[in-house]
Amino acid sequence: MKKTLTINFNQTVFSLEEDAYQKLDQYLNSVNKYFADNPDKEEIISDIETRAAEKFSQKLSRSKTVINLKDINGFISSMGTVEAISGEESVSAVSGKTRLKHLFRDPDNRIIAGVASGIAAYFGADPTLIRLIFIILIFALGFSIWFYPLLWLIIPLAKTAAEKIEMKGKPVTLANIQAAINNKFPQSSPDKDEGKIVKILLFPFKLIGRSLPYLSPAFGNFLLPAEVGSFRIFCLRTLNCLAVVGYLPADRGG
Amino acid sequence: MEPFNAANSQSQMRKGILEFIVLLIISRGRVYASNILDRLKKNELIVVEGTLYPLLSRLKNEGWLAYSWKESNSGPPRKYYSLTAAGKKILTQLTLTWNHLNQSVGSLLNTKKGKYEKNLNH
Repeated sequence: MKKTLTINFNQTVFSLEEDAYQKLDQYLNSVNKYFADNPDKEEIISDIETRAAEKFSQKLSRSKTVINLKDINGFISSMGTVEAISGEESVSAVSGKTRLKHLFRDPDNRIIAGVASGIAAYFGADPTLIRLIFIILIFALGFSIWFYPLLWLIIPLAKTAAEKIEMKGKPVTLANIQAAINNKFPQSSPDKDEGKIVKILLFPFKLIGRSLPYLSPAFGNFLLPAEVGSFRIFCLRTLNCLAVVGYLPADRGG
Repeated sequence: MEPFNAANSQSQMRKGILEFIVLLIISRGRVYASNILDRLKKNELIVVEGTLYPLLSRLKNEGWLAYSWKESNSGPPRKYYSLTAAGKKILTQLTLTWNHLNQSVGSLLNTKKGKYEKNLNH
């Protein structure tokens, strides 16, 4: 006796044995992650699911009403594991993938919004060092307190496994994606475990960061007069930094 | 780098012509993804089915393919693919290239051993 699960797959209902369901779920997850940076991801996944539904229907008969692990394994071997798919994808598809290093905020090592950890990932540096530099810039060298929230606003968050790899400047290859998935990169959850004190300390910054997108059109009006001067200097410096940091192509190859 | 061996070389050759083959199959009549896969598998031109779907979406984005949904007698509606005008143009170009390659390789294969040496001596 085996437990079965009922799934609604591409608008058809199938009964799967429990181990078959787990295997299928695992497979579809890996496919999902593999195509995560493809603009047509939804469509490709739905095509693959359609094909799966078609294959499963062929396996079923009056005397066999449940999909078992063998059926799933058969489907996976003909559709191909992500390793096999990436090995066979046509040359132009592979060469079309970006090799540029991108600056992202790193959600996995963040304290506030992942700005420092993202910059650290970009340069392959220790996030703590970058955070110290931030503190020195703001408190010792008189950078505007807006420095951090502004970077927060400008730098996008690394959401997909592929983006997390690009963040470190590695080519988006299957091996890298696999490694990222195996490391169980948590999907960016807005509130990771933070100590209560840290939460209270960071609250004002988070509030500023959250509301910044709404304020930004009238950004200048929200700056204190004393801040405006240093803000202008800061803007110039940021622009300089961006010219150096953001738009230089990372070394190719590898 | 991928290892340099016969299997890898063969796989590179297959990859290189897959786009051409898929356009060709679609140009021969109303097909949906599973028809294309059947043709490819019968001719041993594809190893895993999963490579076809991203390829179809890329060809569609290039504007070479279009599809329309049609009801099917068994199961959910199917996407039937057809070539656009641009797709037909590309297919003509690729066919020319294929014929050219085929001829060149064919003439090399048919060249008898020693022929070039003779030519060089005279």
